[in-house]
Amino acid sequence: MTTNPSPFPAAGAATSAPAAAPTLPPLPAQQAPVPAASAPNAQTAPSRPPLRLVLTILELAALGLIGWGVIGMFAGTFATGVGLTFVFGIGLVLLVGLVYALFGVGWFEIARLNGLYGFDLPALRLRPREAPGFGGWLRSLGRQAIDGRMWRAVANFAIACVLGAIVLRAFSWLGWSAVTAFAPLFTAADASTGWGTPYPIAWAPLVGGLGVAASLMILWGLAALHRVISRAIVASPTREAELTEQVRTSSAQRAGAVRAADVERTRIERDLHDGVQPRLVSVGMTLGMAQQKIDTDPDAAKALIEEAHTSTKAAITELRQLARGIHASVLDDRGLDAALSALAGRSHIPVVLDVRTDGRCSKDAEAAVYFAIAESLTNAAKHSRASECRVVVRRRDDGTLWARVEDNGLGGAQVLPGGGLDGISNRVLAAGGTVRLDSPAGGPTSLEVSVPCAS
Amino acid sequence: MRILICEESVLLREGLVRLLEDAGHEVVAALPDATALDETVDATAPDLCILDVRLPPTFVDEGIRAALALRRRVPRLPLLVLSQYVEERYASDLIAAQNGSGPGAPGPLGYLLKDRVADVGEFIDSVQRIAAGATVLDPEVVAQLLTRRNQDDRMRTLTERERTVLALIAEGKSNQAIAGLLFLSEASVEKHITAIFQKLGLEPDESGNRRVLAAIAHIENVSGTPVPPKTGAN
Repeated sequence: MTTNPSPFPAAGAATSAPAAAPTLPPLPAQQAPVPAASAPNAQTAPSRPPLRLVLTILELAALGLIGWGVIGMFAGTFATGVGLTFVFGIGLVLLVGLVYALFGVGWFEIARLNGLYGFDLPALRLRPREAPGFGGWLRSLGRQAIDGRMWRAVANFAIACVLGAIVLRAFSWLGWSAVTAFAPLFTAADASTGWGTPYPIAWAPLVGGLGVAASLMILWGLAALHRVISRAIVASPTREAELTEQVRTSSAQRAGAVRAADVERTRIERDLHDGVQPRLVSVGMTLGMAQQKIDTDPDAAKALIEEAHTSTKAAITELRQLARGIHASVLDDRGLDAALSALAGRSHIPVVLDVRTDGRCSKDAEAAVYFAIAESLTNAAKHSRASECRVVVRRRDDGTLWARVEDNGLGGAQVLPGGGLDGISNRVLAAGGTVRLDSPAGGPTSLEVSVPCAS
Repeated sequence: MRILICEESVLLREGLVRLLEDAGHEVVAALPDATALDETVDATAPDLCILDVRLPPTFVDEGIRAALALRRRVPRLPLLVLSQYVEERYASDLIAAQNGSGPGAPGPLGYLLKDRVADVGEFIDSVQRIAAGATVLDPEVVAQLLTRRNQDDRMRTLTERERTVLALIAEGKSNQAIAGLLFLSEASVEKHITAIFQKLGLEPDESGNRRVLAAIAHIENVSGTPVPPKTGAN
């Protein structure tokens, strides 16, 4: 019915639908290369709670040991860098190095948290260079220096170092309390608390026991606190990323819907322009000629009127098919199976239908799948020189409506802007689904669409 | 008359051929697209060329572009452009190419809706008038051009009747035809025309094709011409 500029040109490799599946958030960060100091967290799966508690405390202790050195080094570098900036700009080199060092710390911190808690955060990445040359590098560096995610990770690192210092102190209390508890075994003198308060040695086991309990409580509390703080500072943006992803997907869907509607309108206009309108003009022309001849040459006029009559009937048929192409009402009334039966019955090449769907899917999903199948069959009839088509439709357990259209034709189908396949992929994308086209030159062509049933 | 047709739709192409041959004209070539237009024009030397606006491959305005190219290459060849819709812009493009005088002046131009083909007698008449040197614009095109320009001050000084007459002039009608259509005497039509041309600041002694072009050119450029406004006669 249509005379679109061919959506199936001669040669070409298989093409898949543009922007098919809404992409998932980036993969979990890869395993962190663990420096000796922050020993045993080298695992990507989250540890089980008791183990995780121990790991957290050990990591905090390690950070408490080395972290201050790192932070001090940064502060020193920063101060020196700023200071030397005024001496031939030597300090700038230090500051540049500092940005990379901060990035390294941020990267390490996120990798560490992913390993420890299984947060699934995307690894920290350097800002990509958007412009070439030194200026572009400088600009990307500047943006890196104010990168919020990096700074959050660094802040979390600093907080972890503070917590780590307290952990170390708690360890020493623990050790001191343990020693105190057993003090009566090897001394008789009055014991003293760490703060210079003397008390009878008989009380030492009690004081020591309380001290051990308190230290353990503090360690447990610090570990829990670390987790809460990390989640709040570093892990919370995942929600944001998730929402960003959702927005991206839905705007892609909306763009697809708009384009699908646009392609569809163009097609309808073209069908009218190329099919029905010339036919009606030609009917008018024939009747006009008949009118001129009716007195002088009644026989010729009669023949012309007959011709106009035939042409009118053809125009009516064409209009009906066009209307059907816009909207198949049987789809709404009787569902996909019935609509596809009617479609197969009208097809110019034989169609083998195999439809198994229990219950109905949403109107949008059914309409998108129907449209995809109808368009594929039209394409097959027009371009593939196939002698048979197979249509398989299933409702899958994962709640998607899936369909495959295969022909035994020439293949080599391509997605061209404004073409039939473009219309299919836009329409399906708009319904939240995916399209896969496999059409090697020489054939056969198969098109698979999959649309969420509840779309 | 020797006519060349360039029309994509088979139905219309064949219909036009039959229509024109029935009216005693010779169709020297009927092309489905504009790719071989130049060669065919050179080879057949037609008296008139009929072009559809929408031709392959993009079906947008190939016909207009082909017409403009043809106008540059063979300026004197009378052109009739058939359009599915009234597109004021397309008409403007074509009319803009009509400027010029002397031996290299552009030949006559027609711009008609495809539907006009159904009025066989009138269509044949238009074809013959174009070939004879008249400029014929579809009434709907003229109406659109006038609507666009009606905001202009000088256009507003025209009476309703004068505006009708101006539209008919732009369509390429003769005084006699205008008189017949409006049930007026030729003398009063002439009076209207004088009034119109005076109000618009046009030369009153223009006649025939030049008059139509002047009227159209005025409608087209009315806001751009720095003619001082003149007080109306009535």
